[in-house]
Amino acid sequence: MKEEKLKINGIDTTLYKTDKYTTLHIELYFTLDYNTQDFYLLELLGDYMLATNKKYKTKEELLDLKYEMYSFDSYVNIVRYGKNIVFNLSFEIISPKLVKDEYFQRLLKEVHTLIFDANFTNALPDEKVFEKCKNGLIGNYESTNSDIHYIANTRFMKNAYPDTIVDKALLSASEYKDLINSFSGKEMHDLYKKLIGEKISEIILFGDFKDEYIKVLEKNLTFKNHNKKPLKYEFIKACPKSASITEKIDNVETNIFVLYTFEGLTRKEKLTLVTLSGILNFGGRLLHKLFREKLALVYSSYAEIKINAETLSIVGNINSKNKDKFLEGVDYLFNEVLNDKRIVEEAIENYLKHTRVSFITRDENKWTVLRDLTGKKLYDNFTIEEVYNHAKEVKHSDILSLIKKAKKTLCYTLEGEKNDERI
Amino acid sequence: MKEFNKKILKNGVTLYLYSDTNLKKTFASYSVKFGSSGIFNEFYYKGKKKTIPFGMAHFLEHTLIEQSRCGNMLHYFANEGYVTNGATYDELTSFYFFGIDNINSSIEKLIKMVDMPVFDEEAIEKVKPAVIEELNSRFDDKFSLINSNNYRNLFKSFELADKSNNVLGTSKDTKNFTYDMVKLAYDAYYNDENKILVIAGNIDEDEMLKFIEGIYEGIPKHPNNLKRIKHSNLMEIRKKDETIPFHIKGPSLAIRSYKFKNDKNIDNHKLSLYISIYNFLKFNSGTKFIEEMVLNKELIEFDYISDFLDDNIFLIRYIVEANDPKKVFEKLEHELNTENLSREKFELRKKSLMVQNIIKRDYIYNIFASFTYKLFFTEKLDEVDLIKSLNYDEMIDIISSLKFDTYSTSTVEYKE
Repeated sequence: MKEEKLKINGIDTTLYKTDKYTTLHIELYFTLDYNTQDFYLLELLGDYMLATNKKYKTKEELLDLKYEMYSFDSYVNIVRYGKNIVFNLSFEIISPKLVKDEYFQRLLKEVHTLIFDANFTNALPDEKVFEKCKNGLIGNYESTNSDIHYIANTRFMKNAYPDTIVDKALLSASEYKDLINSFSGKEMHDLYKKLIGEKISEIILFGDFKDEYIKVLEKNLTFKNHNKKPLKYEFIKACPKSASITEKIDNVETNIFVLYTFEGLTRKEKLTLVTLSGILNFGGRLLHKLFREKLALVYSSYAEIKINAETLSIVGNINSKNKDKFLEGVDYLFNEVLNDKRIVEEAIENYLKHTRVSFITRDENKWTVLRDLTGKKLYDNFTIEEVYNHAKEVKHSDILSLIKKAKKTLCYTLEGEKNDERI
Repeated sequence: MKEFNKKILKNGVTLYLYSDTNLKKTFASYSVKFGSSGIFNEFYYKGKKKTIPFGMAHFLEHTLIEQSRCGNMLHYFANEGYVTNGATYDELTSFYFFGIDNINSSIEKLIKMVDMPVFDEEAIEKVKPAVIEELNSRFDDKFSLINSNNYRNLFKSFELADKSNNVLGTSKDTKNFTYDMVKLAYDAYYNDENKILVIAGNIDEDEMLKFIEGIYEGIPKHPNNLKRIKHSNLMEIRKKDETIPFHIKGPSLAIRSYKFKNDKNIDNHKLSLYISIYNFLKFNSGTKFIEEMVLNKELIEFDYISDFLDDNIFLIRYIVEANDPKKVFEKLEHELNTENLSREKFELRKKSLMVQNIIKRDYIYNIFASFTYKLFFTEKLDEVDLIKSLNYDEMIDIISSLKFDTYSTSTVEYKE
């Protein structure tokens, strides 16, 4: 794969050139300062842009276009990254070499329409489509909010980050409904203008792009201004109000989260944190061996890390009567298991095998490659290669040094009150 | 795209091999035609009628993995750096890995794990706690509950799913599993003729075939003493409508399944493609049918799948998430015809299916992983020729001949 840096109409563009795959990818990244209002309004805007534009006014017409153009796909993904919003508009298209060359020209004209000719008249959207998009989002949010794991994770996060933007961003179904319904068409239009007019920050191209395709992109991605502000790497620190919080739910399963926080980790220590997560999870399977096999408490247990927030959570789905045993198990993990050199070194060895396989075979899945590259480019995430190289060097003493810095900050339990004996 | 090479081995195991030395990984799966569906609960073994409870296929999967002669086989494979797991589906149990190193010895271990079990009473008891935790978690899964309930209600003459609506059975039943029950299920279903071995990736087919045959030379044969029970009156419905209360607040979820008999013996693969195109033309997110209901807040999500069962029975299933799914189904009934099906859109859809068939080769391992599961209606990886052969008039003919009058609806709704 060849990496080329160029500019398309003045916008920083990175081209990852490879002929290995059947598709080309065009990824547009727009960045804004975070606020909850804009975050959710962008969701609505994203849906609206994919549901209608000035040329193809209905979803049906857009679907016909999609299938006529060899199933080209467009996606919107919106993330909160620290105190930024990153709005990503992506296009996946079949490689023109598999169809015909002039297909790319035609397709990019349609991409231009989708981006620059959104369906607004007198600064207002099509009322029907606007309403449909709202209803769709509200319905989906209600549905997501009835999934127990989503509920448990949301409640944990709200309790781990109370009164912060993390807490405020996690809306209940009714709060979300009120917020989405409160948005006016004019507000959405104004945000659209702001987004397209000045917030594009980066373009990433992936696939077998010929030089003439770049000219076509220049012709169609006609952004006038762009956002040169770099992403703000300011991340919210966990700040729970109490070290132990229990909430109840009419559920069979109890979900339990034990949160550890770290302060001021170096880059190397952060990589060690990735290794620690790896040996607890799939690589070394230490959590499985402890909680499922030795203690027989769980069907599943996993470790989750947030590198930028410098946290590690141990999560278990258990029977409520085993809560204390689970918590004792977590202490045992940190005080005994992770202090055992033989156990940890064996786990690191196994984890290394996993990361080696991931590294060697990463190009066999284009999404793995694309996410690896864009993660590094945009968010300075660790690449598969970095993780693998670190795994080759990390020792038990590194794990020990790291866990000495770990502070148990919160035990959050969402206790299921349903008695499984009835079942 | 090339196809798998199929061989029936001397012992009756069906072997599929696929070689591509450009690939770095090798995929191996060992599957048994025995799953969580209730269709497996009653059978004849050595001439005698036997019954096993729900959840047995899944329990056996756990037992073979966790109590193998090498300890927990997932640990063994994970220690090789593999991606690995076991899975129990409706009609199949599968044990698989993806890896790079020591493939041959791992294939041998995989086969021996399944074919030379060492579980005993103590081992059975050790498996129970994790299985019980897993099945309990299913009671918090709306879709899992309603799916089981719907399957159960679709058939009167036998129990396709458990009355608890849990596809994995109940904790009470699982606690009562005995060694004899588990052994019976194993002896009956894990016979050689009932097994499928799939190996794909960076291999030499001839060498692999020799190697596999060599492995089986050293393993005791597992003869087929199983006779599946043929149920009658398969078109009769147990219950036309059922609502299950659910404890987590949210919109209602409903499934309506229409049941048909494939009397014309149309190839299942072709039939599934026609049904999929028909449903797409009628019910994709851009249709007036869907858009109006979303606009009127009558619908959150709408989806459709088809299922193919034994004895030429197939299902067309509609999954609705809405505050009042009944209203949606009332409207659906008026749409189940062949009106307003554009020939042009049919051709567009065909084109898109062909393109998707090409694009999916960018991650061929997904294709390998789903291959065994799709064996029910096709051994082919490349669907392009079949898709090309589909024609609009034939689709209209087939769909028009379907009578959407045998169905069952299951609904899950929140109850405080």
